Amino acid sequence: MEAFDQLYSLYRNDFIKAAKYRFNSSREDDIVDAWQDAVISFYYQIKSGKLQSLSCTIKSFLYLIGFRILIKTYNYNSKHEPFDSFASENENLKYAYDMELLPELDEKQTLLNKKIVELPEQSRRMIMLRYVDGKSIAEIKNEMNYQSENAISVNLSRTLKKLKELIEQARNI
Amino acid sequence: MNSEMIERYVANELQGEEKILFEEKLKVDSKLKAEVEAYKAIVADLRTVQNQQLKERLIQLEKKSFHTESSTSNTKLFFLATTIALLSAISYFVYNKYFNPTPKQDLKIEQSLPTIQENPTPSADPIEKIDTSRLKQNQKNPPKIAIAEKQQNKDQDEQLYAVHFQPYQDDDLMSMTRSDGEQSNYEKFIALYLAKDYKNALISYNSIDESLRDSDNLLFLKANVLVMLGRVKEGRDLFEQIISNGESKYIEQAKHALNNLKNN
Repeated sequence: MEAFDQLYSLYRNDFIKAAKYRFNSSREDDIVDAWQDAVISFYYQIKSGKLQSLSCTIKSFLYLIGFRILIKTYNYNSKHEPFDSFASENENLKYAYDMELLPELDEKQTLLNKKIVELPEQSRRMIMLRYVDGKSIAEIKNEMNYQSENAISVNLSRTLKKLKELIEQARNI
Repeated sequence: MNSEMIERYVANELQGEEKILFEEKLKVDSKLKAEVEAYKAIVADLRTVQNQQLKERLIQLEKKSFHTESSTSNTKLFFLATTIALLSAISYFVYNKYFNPTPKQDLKIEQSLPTIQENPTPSADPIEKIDTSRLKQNQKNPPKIAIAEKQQNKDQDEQLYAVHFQPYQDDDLMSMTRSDGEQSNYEKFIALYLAKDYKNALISYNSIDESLRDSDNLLFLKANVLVMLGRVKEGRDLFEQIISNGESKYIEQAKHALNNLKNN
């Protein structure tokens, strides 16, 4: 995750400067927010294997996602037509232009997000590896330095059950 | 039904006979079915939740690294500025009092300038000597890495200018493309420009008759095309040329475009 933090910090100030110029009515909070979403989207694209190589610079790719988010936020579509004409000239930029942006959390997901932090760090990491990254029990055992696969399996079952209970309790309150 | 089996089913790891048997059990066991569905719903939302957690991580990083940094750096800047101001004042006082017997009214501007020796006396301090020579060498021949990095940043910036540059468009241009017969190269260029097909627009421009091609009005459109194709420097030079010639009807627009590019 260190690389993720570094990437965020590396172009953060440049992006804010460029976006302030481009969207002169934008508040810095919105620009920072868009930059965060752009970096997360990029991270997700890499991690999921959807994006395997870049023919443009990372900076350009991230800027394009960030500006798209700001355009969406401020509904600037008509003013930014050159955007797609340039994007069509580079495969990666076209991809950045077309790719799905981060969805907003619905009520159910917000509740899950609140409850998941109540779990122990190890369990949280384990369910993310298992259900988000799609790792097998054996892979998780190696990655998390566990002695037995059974311990992982038991922990996963308990974590799912615990999460289900926490969510049900919250709904019943 | 053991809980590890349920977990494996939710993780989509059950296969063949195991999976068939499990799904048959699901059909008859409504309690199991409800439990599995609840787990599946949780798992389906984990991706979005992970994104949110990454977001929270970045919010913390933002608070820690940038908000604190700005206040710290402001404090540092304040102390630095104060120190420099104090040192300047002390140096000025000491110099005037002990080393500069010449009355102020006799001072010439040249005398106040430091003299640079062609062959300065070697410094007693080896560290100072090394630093100075490095500095001079760097001035003459900047490190290759620095040049490459600068060039890369420049290229990236040029790319970004092209992404965010807004080419000139107006209704007058539309009227230039109306033709009953076959389109001239000039009209083709305008039509391609309006269609935002800048690559072919440039090809078409080069086929326009020279007498027309060099008109500053048309050069203005060409400058827009060049920027849109990422040839920002050429486009910028052309805008400057149009402004300096003072003949185009698009001078104000050229200034605006140039200003946009410079501000980037």
